[in-house]
Amino acid sequence: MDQREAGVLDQLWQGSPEAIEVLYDRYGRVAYTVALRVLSDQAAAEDVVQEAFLAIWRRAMTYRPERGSLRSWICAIVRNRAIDRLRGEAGRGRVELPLDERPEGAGVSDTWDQVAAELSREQVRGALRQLPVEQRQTIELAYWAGLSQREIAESMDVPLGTVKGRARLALSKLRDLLQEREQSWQPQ
Amino acid sequence: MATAMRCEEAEQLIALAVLGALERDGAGGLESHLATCAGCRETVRAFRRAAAVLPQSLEEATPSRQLRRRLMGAVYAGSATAPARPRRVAGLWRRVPQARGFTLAAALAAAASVALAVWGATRGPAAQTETFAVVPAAAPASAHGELTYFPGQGRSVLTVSGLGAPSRDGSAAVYEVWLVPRSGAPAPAAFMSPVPGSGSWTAVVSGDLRGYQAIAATVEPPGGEPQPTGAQEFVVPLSQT
Repeated sequence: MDQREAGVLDQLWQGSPEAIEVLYDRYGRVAYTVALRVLSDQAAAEDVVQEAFLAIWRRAMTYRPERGSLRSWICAIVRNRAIDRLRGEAGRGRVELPLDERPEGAGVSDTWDQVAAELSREQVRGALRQLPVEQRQTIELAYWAGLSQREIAESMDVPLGTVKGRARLALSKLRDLLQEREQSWQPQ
Repeated sequence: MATAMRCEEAEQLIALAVLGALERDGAGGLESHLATCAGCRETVRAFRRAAAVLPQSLEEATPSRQLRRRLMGAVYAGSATAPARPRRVAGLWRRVPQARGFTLAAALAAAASVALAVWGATRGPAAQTETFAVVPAAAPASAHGELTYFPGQGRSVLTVSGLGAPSRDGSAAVYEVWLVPRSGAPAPAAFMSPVPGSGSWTAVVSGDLRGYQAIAATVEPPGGEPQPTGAQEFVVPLSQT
């Protein structure tokens, strides 16, 4: 986290409206991009972004820097709200993994946020292109369309076990590709 | 200790959960596995980080300008009740400059402005303030109040009483505040928000007031307008600035 972001976070924790203005100027476009990707509707996407930033302002104390960057946190909130809006009740009832994720010794890198922030659109797309098409489709249906494991299995006409295996392989490969980048990363 | 097989199964469930696809009735045993397996907890972190870069694959889109204005209007509408740290607000009350004609209205404005309270309590020495009277512009001429300007902080708190709920042609509307320069078009500055239980409205205006001849408010559609389109409700002449 850079100093500017740390300052914004401090203001946010103090309930400062100006902090939301700064956050929106910094992350409003990516938030809107995520909402639009899920909803394919400009007005609905803007509604979701507004709701999400208001929620961020009110729930700022729930942000834990050790869990990921502000950008990731904001994108996750926006995506969850967009999926809720897209899927309604059908999108609910999913498992959320435990929130307490404090680093546990070696293997946890402080450089990850910087590595991730420096990834270009083409680099992420390149990493996705390296996945087999059925793994990419599994990510698409789960992450962007908000389908559940059973719905994905029905949609792709494969057994549930295949969906589980594809999801694991897809994220494992992405993780490995990104870890390679992290290991070769040098501060700019 | 978890077996390799169990970890592979757990990794499948973790991947589904990180992608938002794991149904509750399909998660059997994952939580208890995570409680005992540090390796799979690390997988949670790694998969989350991998999924977190997915938005970076998208072609960035640009929201309308109205969204920013709508959002900040809603934020300032909520700022009077925003969660603040009581200790810091109390600090501001102790710092209120008693000798400069500090009035009840200004006290109300200060209390209503959480942002300013925190800012003032944490950054500067006791603020020098200037106050300006609100002059009603619309009939019935019931608006009254004042603007408290904190020159050292580049912030002003506007508090106005006697305003009804804003409406245009019977539809809901907002009070939009404008900075009126000595020449050129007014610039949108803030939205007025009701102060709960007081019957008054408040707004925080950011910026150095030098170079402006007045602050004014008009009634605009929800989300506001880039230029004034509605009737002027009141004006605050800044003749001393």
